[in-house]
Amino acid sequence: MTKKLACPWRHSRKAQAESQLNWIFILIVGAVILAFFTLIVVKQRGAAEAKFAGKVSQQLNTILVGAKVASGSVQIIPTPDVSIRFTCNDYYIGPASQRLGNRVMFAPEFIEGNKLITWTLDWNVPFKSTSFLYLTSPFVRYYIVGRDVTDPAAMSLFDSVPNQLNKRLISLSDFELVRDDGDKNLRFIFVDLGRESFDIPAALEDVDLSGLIVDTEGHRVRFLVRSVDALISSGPYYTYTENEVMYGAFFSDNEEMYSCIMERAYNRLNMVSRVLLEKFNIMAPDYESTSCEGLYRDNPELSRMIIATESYHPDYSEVGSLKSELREKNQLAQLRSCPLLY
Amino acid sequence: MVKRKNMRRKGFAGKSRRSQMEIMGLMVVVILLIVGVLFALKFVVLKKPAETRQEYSRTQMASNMGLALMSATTENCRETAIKDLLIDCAQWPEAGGTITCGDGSGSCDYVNRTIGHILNSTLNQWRVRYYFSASTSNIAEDRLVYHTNGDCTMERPKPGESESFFLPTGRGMMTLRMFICS
Amino acid sequence: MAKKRIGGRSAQLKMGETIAIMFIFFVLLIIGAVFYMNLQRTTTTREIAEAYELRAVELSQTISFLPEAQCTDSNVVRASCFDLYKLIGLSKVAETPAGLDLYSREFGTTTIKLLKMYPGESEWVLYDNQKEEFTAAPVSHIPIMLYNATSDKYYFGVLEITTYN
Repeated sequence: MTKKLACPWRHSRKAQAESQLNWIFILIVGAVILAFFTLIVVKQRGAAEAKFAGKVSQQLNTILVGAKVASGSVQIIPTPDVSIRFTCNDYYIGPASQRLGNRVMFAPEFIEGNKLITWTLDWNVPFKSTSFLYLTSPFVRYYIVGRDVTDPAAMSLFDSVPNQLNKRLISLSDFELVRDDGDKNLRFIFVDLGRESFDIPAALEDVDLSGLIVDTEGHRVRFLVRSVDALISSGPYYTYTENEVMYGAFFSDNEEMYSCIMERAYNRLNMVSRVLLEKFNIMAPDYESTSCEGLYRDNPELSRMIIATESYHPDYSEVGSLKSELREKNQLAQLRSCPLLY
Repeated sequence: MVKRKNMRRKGFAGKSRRSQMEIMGLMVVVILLIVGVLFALKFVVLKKPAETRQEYSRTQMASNMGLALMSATTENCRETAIKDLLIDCAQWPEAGGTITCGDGSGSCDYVNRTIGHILNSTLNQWRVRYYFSASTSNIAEDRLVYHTNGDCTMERPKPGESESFFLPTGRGMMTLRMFICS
Repeated sequence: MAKKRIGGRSAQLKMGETIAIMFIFFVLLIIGAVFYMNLQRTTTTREIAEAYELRAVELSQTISFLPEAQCTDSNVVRASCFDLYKLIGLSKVAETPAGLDLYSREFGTTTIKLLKMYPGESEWVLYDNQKEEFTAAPVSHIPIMLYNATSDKYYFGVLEITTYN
């Protein structure tokens, strides 16, 4: 009997221990399996995000190549809700990047949101040397600040940029009263105000903002960056010979990036001038002893343009005068029934 | 004894049913796995690769080919463009065209040979299947120009990309059709 | 003792069964992982090929809209038209170190040839930057309208683009 009584007790203790061990075993194995799958999920999530970013950046690249082609057009492109970071040579979506190559593209350093606005303009100096692509988002608000809202220069700038932009024309006195309307980014363009710094309105203390001074008389721009409570000038004045160049500064919010992109633009102008000079030298023998003769062989304007744009910063005044000289020569070619220069 | 035997039989039957259920469960798992693998094979491995480049190339080729062909200035036919010869041929098909080219042939004959030569030295060399036609009517016999390569013909339409160009003539609108088969 | 041995054997059997199940489970898991990885590899290879295809499309668009190649009348562009002399000029400029540096950013590792097909036949290498090692070099042909500015004539030409993958 005692034996009979002792056995079930021992058996139950053994069963208990076995059951406990069993549970510990299940817990360990379960934890290992769970950890394994969690690891896979985490890795897969990272990979999927990278893949998505890669795909979006690649598709955006194709869209931007297409947008560059359609000169003069404004497009609103729906995109996934991503943040795009632009540098001079590349742009990044998450871990994926795409090279810009020789494209001249002006954009804020960061674009967030699910829409992109693209605007394309030809850069004619006076012949087309490249297309400028301007990129922004409807979530960036542009305030064009003039002495007053009837200021012709401010009005002209306001009218010349696309209506699809999130833009407003205000007077300097209204600038003090600007409120935070929930825009992701604000950019103030101060037109012909003759000042180098502006106090930030109290309501915009926590808003991401930047600015630009445009001097339409002197054809120059200067970037403004945020200090504690003011927008102060940063970097030198940049001269512009065409409005397209000024629009570049309008859309860029980083002075270094703007300078780097403009260097690329002038590099292209230099190269196109070289190609045209070669073209005219090939054509020249066909026009010896004709009224067209002087227009092509070693075209002096193009030779000077090559020298003027050899390095950055170019000789702006020389570029400006060469533009009008080339325009005149093109008209002369037309009058003499010679092939046009451009 | 009988009871014990029945019990044993019941126990055996229960165990057998349980193992049957286990096998069923395993089968379900195996079937699910096979279905999953088949799905993956269907949608990932056997997915047709995108023909971005080919499609774009065909469209661009059809469009550019037609434009470049029409504008090309002829070698020895009074410096007229191919499109002008086509228009002349469409207006006077009975006479073979009114323009007499350097080699003495009429515009219809000359333009047919020239287009044939260009297509032969380009699309045929690149092994592109195509047909090119120029006509002022839908009747096959009235076609002024018709060139084809491979089994890509106007009579037996195949999938592909095409581009049409229209030239006004005295006998109505002439349609030029460049069709590139895929 | 006998009972203990029987109990021990049964526990060993149970343990063996558990280990066998675990073994089969992990074997299935490994098979699944290998299968999945192979699928991923196939997908990635295809995506790389698609990216190259997209690049070729982009390239042909870039060339078609290059200012130093287009025909213009006072900056008004003639559609699908290439200026013959501009292209010859481009071929000369692209040979210079500065030109090669600039155009390599635009065209990458490709060879672009201009073939004049009618009337007469001529050939120019506009840009040549071959990859030393490549797995494939698909060739695209773009028929173009070539404009001779001095004779005011149009030729039938072809742009031959070789992309090195």
